[in-house]
Amino acid sequence: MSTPSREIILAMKNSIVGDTYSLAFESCFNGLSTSSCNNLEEIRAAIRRNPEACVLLDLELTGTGINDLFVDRDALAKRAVLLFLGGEKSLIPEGIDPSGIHFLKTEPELKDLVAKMEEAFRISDLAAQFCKIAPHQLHARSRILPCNVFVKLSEGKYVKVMNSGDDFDKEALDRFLGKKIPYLYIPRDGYLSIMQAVLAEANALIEKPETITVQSAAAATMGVFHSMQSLFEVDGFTPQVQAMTMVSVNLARGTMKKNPKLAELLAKLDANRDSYIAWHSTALSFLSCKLATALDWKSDGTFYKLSLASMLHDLTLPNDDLAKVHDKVATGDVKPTEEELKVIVRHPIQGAQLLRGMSDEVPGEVAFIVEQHHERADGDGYPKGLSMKDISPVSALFIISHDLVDEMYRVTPGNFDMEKYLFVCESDKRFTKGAFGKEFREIMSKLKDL
Amino acid sequence: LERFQTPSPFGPARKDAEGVQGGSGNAAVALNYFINRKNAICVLTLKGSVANDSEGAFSACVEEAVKTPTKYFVLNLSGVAGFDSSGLRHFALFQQKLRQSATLILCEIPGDISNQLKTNGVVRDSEIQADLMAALQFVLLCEKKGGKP
Repeated sequence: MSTPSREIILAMKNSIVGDTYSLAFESCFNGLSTSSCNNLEEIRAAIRRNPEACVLLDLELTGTGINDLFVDRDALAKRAVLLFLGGEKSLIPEGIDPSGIHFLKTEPELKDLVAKMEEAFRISDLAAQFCKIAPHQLHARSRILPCNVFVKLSEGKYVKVMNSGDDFDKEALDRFLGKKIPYLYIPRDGYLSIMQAVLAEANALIEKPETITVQSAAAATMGVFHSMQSLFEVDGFTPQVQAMTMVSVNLARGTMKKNPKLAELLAKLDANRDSYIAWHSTALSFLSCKLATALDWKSDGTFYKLSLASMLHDLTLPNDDLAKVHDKVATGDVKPTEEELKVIVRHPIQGAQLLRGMSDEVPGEVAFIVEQHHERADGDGYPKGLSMKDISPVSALFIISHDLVDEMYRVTPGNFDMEKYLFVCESDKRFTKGAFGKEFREIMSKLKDL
Repeated sequence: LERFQTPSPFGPARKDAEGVQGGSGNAAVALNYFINRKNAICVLTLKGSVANDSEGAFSACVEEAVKTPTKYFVLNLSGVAGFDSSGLRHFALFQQKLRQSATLILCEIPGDISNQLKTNGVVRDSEIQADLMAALQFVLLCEKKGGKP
């Protein structure tokens, strides 16, 4: 039988049954290792340790309190396979990606269990073979293609559209943009080589801070963000993606220490609007630090918290359209389905979950900033509908920066009018009504001075 | 006597056994054993020929296997090239010792050897399973019945 060199983690109520399964798997899959867990906490720790593991769970052991496991897996270990004995798909909480989660009847025949395990590995491996890349990113990075390029037709089905060695020139780029193809797919190895080049550029800037300009930092940060986003979608928030996050955070910190003018920031950011989430996260990182500087909160620690929150606050959203939705009633141009709306309402919690799962120690405040970035002055925000007394000043700053960046995106590049924005904010009392009081007013007043 | 303990002896042992059976195959290969244990389940894989001089290998195998409390012994005979009639008694005693403390299941017995063992009354039909998966499935069945075969 084919050989996934992966780990199977067994969590069975009857340890002898678990041991029997272990022996069966080891005899069928060469090179496979098995281990066992006795409770949910151990299982959660195991998939953090090995995000590619396959967990075989006996629902009799774990009970139904498994939501945290689903959330962990969704955020941190997307390639991990969960195979339940007992239960059914309705156990999967709303907003959780069900791919990679399988259900079998309790006490299955061994041959059925082994076959299911092999199928689960195959699907998981296939999904990991391709990484998505926006056409303009590919154009910017590789004129002569280092690998074949594919378009995704459906789950697990890809069709080749360009060959390795082809020239991905402006004409080719326009062809894909004209067909409204948001993402192309390239084999993982090819993607990793492009990603290494992106990281090398970013690290070169970080190592020589004197060479950082807003333009180079914005372009490099967006490049790194795209790579993070693609790998996150395939693998989850693995240590590799976490390390990339820190590269983009360090770039933003390095840039903001130079205290560039707001006008310069806006002009350079406006030049890179191809992907909403990447632009939005990069702009938010720069703008929130800029606003913190105006409030005289210009410590490196504050820049670190704001930049990290910026990079991760929308990472769990699957596409640009969902990131553009800002109200839980979805009054904007994008009309999400009911299911998508649930994903939107969950994403602040999922983003916070990423931070809490980071292997490096991260200040707890950063997770709260991410969790609260859609809360509102009047308590009408989401996911918790908090009021001002529950929101820290730095979260308040982030909420305003988030709104500001979103407003900037809505206008044609170069046409953003801060005076008009402040007037609108004042008119609709979006930050100043109710208990949201003076902290917000102070932050708003600083916007005029930037 | 060589003794081995490997994490997963199933593949290599099976391949070697095919080599022995498929070759000219007259030279008797001394009996070896492999142990793969998961707590209370112990898979013992024999490799080589069972003959009069196998007594030492069987004793060593039992001694090592019963050191840890065991509920099921799965005896994998896929690597056994042949049984000398003088070795049958040692094999019967070997099984007896394993049965004393655990449920014994035999599997992967090469066809000609199976006939020989049955004809000589050395094995019990109720303990024989076709292959390792069937043996492990039998363990699951026993567990379902509260640990009884």
